[in-house]
Amino acid sequence: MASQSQVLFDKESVYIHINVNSQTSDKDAHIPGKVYLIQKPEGTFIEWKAEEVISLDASQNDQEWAVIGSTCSVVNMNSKAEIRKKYNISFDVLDLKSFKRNAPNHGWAYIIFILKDGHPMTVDCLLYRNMTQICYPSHLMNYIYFLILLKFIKDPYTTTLGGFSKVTNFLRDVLIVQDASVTRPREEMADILQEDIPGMEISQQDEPGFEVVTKTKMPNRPEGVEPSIRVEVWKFLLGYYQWQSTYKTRTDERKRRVDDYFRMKLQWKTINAEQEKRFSLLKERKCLIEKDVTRTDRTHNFFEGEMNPNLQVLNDILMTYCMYNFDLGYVQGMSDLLSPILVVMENEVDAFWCFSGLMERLCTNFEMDQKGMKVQLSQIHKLMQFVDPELCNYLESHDSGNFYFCFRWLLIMFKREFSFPDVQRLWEVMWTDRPCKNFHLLLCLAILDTEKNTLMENKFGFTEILKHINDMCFAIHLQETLKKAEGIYLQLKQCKKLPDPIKEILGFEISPCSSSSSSSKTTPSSTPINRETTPKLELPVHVKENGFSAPSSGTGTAVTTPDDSSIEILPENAENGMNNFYN
Amino acid sequence: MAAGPYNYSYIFKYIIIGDMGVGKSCLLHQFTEKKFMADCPHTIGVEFGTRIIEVSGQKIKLQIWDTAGQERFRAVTRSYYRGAAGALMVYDITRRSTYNHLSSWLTDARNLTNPNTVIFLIGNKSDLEAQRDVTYEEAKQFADENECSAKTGDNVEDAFLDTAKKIYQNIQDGSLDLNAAESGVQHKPATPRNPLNTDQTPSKEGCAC
Repeated sequence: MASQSQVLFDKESVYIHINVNSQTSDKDAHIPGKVYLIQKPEGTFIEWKAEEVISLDASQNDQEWAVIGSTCSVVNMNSKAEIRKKYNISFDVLDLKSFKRNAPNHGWAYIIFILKDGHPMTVDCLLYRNMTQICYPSHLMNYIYFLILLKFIKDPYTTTLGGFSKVTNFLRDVLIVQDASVTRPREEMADILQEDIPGMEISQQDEPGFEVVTKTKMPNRPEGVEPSIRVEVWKFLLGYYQWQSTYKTRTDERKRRVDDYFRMKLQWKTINAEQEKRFSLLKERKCLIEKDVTRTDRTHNFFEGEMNPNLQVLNDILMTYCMYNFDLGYVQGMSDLLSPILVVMENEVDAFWCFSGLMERLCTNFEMDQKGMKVQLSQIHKLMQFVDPELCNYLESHDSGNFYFCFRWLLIMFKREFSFPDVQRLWEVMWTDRPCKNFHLLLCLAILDTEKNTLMENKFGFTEILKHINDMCFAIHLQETLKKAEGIYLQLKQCKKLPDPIKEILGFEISPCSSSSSSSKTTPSSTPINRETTPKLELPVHVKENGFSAPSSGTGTAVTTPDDSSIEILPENAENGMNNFYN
Repeated sequence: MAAGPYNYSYIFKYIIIGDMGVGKSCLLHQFTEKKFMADCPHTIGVEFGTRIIEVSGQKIKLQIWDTAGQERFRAVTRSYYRGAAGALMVYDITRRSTYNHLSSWLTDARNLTNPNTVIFLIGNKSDLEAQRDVTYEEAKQFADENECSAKTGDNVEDAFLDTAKKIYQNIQDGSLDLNAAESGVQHKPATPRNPLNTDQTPSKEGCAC
């Protein structure tokens, strides 16, 4: 430290989390270090410095970075130290735009800092990388406390009385979290639900035509499939095996599928170089697949290393899929979908048929006209308009009404957003089509709801929204998000005046005698009402009905022809949104 | 004045476009991390990279948008061109098809950015000389071109820097209006530390218009 600088506060064992774009980077993802509050002549700075690991006798001082080989270890340590130093952080407190504390999970609590950066174009956080988290073991609560005080002292202009209650809430949350065990008591859940869907509350106040469900008890969230039986369960979920099949029929079916697979594999395998010269389409696809296979999940231990034989399997399955579905061929993103399946199946034939089952669900995402993507993006828009009009208006008025920032989520079903185990769990939940059709769209809403405050309070525009969502990979808590998505589902399910377009998206029954004015154009194709399916919840549901006001005409027409709800019409909606916003 | 990564006067938005597999993400990675990454995952939608460079004594932050290359995703990637100050158009010198498609990429770049956007052509993979499928001369004819290698790092730096120099030059001679809505350039005057710092009023300093 320079002589004029004064350290006001310091704390060890504060880790930064680097959001690297690889999946098995756990080792380097958390870098230990020390955080300081330093008074310098030019201002007050928050600094974080990586822990020194230069000691030659590394094995004594550095328990965390266990040394395996003795000779090369020193070099590793030093290079690691160098890498870590790259991440050292220093910023003026006045550059802090906002910070966000995440509830502790896996024994960690996080603080995410967002700096002002003086312009609206980027969202810079502490580091080099765009999103950085400072993590600290959850018992270091005084650290948070210190930050809050800091905010008060240094930012008196913006800290209003309202801020006071915020901080109180903040502290209360901190204390509650500190006391609570990892699992939350069940009786708390309904309240959380209430708090977590602010769109609902806002609608209650601002939108006269809204119906609010006040108490809903959350059922136990299934924890996904036990990993050991996953290999069998997925075959059922993906339509490879029939649910009503017997052991005998399955054995026969599998035998048939094996033959079928190798028949198709032989089709492309036997095309020789001469033939290929005059088969440019196949040659082109072969080239695309080769390129993508070499860069699919190479950090996962199943695919890592030079000449990994599993890459060949990945390649062969994708090539065979080309023959199986030549009209579609190979499109980027497919290798992402295949990789977790192959990791679970560990068998070429089984992985192929499970993959083709998954493609049955997702192939419209990959078709030339991108119809599936367009439909889903507009469905998110419709759902958001209903569930959280405030956020929807915000996004529309910030050039994001087309929801393109959800593109990667939807195209490959969140594959790049979660760790491998989480992706596997998320997928099997989706494949059950429980609790409803298109549940993944509710998952999108749940994530956006969690990020709502960050997006709106920082006044993020088009670029920042896109960047923020993009940078969130590996930072989404799956369990919490699934719970929240189910919470949204339950509230929608209980909503008596749910507009038909919403019911349509979620596969709810559309009652022929629906009084909703927006539903006039629906074709009454659904089966008669089944009364007994509705009141399944354990607690009485208090519903405040105000009668639902139909959404803008643009969305109403889409009921009969979901196809015309293309991306192109969204900018118009966005403009409508803008007009409303300024009215 | 506080040192560190937040001290710069301009932000330029770049977009990297071109067919899939030409090495767009590798170029970005080579430029921002100075490392070659052979198994760089293919981009779905868009990825971002940043680096601060210096042109004529001015610190400039490059905000680089790296896009997905496959044809059918163009509907989405087209929405990312808006407001780019520089467009790096990449092809693979060992695959002629990627060169042949340049005119379509150029059309997009011209139509979807403003007239002052600097478009830079990059022939990637120049380390694979033996497999060359597009000659330097013909590409040179096509545009003011600069071959480079994301693998060896040859000329990668220059491709990004030369584009920035040209943009900066356009600012200096007034042909690029910083106040235009989608110039792709943001001016961030390095103000003294001041708690009452008012946000980003674009300064006209350095702008001849």
